Amino acid sequence: MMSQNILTIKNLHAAVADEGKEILRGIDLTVNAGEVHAIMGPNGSGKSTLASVLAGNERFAVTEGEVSFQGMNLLEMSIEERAARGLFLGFQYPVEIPGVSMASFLRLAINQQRAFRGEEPISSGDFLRLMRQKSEIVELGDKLMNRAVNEGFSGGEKKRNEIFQMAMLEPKLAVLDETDSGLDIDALRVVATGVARLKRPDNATIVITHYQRLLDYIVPDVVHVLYHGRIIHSAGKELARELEERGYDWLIREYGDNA
Amino acid sequence: MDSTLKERYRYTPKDRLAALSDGGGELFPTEIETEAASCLYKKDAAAAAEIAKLTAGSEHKMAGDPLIAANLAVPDTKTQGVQIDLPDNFKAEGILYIHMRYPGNGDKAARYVQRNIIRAGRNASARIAVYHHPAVGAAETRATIDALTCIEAAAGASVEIIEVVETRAVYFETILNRQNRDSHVKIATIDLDNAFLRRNQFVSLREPGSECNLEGAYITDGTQYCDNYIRMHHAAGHCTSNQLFKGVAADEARAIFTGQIYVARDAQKTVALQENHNIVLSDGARVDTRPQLEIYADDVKCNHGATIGRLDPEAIYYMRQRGIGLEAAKRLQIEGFTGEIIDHSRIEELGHLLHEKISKRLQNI
Repeated sequence: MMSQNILTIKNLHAAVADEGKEILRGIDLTVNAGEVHAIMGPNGSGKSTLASVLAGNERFAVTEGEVSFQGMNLLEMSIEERAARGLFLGFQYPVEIPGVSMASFLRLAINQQRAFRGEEPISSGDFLRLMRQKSEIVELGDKLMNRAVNEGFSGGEKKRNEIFQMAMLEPKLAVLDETDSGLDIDALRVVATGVARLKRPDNATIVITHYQRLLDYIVPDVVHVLYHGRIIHSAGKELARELEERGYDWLIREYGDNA
Repeated sequence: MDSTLKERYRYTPKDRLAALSDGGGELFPTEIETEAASCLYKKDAAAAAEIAKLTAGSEHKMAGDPLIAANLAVPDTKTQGVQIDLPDNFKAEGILYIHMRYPGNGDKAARYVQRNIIRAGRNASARIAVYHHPAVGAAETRATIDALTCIEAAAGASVEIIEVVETRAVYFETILNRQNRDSHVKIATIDLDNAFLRRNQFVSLREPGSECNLEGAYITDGTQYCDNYIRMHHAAGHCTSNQLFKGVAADEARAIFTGQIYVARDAQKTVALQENHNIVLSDGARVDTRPQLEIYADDVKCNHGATIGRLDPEAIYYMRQRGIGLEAAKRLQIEGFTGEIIDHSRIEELGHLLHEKISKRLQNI
């Protein structure tokens, strides 16, 4: 039986909106429910741009191609509509929002998503229960809940906070943009275990990473190598270890740039 | 006007100052309502003669100040106000709430003049919340309010005032605050919705160890004008002052902050801090921020910082990615920005209410 399709990207081209410089040069990718995909690649290959384009970041303009998200045209949706329909981006650099508490931020996010889907707002009691329950997943406790969003958080706390938000919002597709970068081994374990615990048969995850070490905890079904704006090679999880040992050069020589 | 006064009212349109005199319409009484658990006060305007004594010989050029002069020119019988007298060592429990209401004059112009005095005896303490209600009905744009408040904090006294001004009218205010040894005064002003507002705060730290915190938030849109002027006079050494003002200007609105810090020659070990931050939401809005430091002592710590900026597009993108719509994301960011002033207030009971008020106000921006 074919599992449910979550994301299909066909020949996606995207450029920096202001400069017209093309960064994605024909991406093809299919992600089905229950799968974890890892996207790896050297610096500047377009990994973060792909995440930004999926989220709808206005810094980038799609110049060609199609993206279907649960059967709908993702590229026609606003940023918030993508989120309400179940797309979550774990930021590489989570943004600080001074004066806005985590609790009021998340409650507004949940309620706006619910309103978009025609659902009732969450009650205070349910919201508090949900916060308590989900904060355990990333071992955050209550201490960050009354603080302003990401303000004064350490690097590790910011990344754990991303996973916490993912747990609260229960997306269909989570795109984690270098969530592992800058983490010590303990924080890495917490983040990775959190992601693994949120995995369900009806959702999917794309993990963008530079290092193989995250993939010791989150076992991907497929590993893709992005180079110069295209996926040049896809293989099973063993590819990640091979990349760690041999680097990217051999792949680039074999598959890169000539297509 | 001499040059000091000219500078003080540099940005104030002349026709607005005219509203302080008979040009501002017939005098009408402010309706005052007070709620207090335990506090000593009377609903009675302070006499002009009494206030004149306080302003006489002051270092702030009070005598010629047009706001003070216009206020004191009105006969006592035509003014309203609250006088609070805290005896020595009296600790007022709870919060004294004062509501100022402006019932209006049909569709004609109306003027309201208030004179208030707060005297805190030695080691006395009180927390006071003042709410200036929206002027009623058709009168709102034709009402002129002129409030004068004198604060006298004796040695060791502690006074905290939070004032919310939401008159939709023309609002003038002068706060004269004189502090003695080791006294603490904190005044937070929340200027939510006023056609025109000008507030002068003259603070005199007269004896060592006194501390004054002035905080303010202002939200302006349409053609509103909001002008906060502060003169923080450090007359004695070992005193501390803080100014933190944050504001938002939308549409064609105009917001002004002037913060003077004057440190006298003998006021060594002064700590005087000032910050003013603004968000401008449109090309037509204008914000002026003027730090003015005059320091004559050599062993002092004085910092000032001012910013005028736009909303942070990265933060808005982040919020939208979590499903928050564009308009709601903008409002949440502004609420966070101005909310700091409310969160700083130690009158916690009001925090929730004020956050809600700001949130409601921003719905219309």
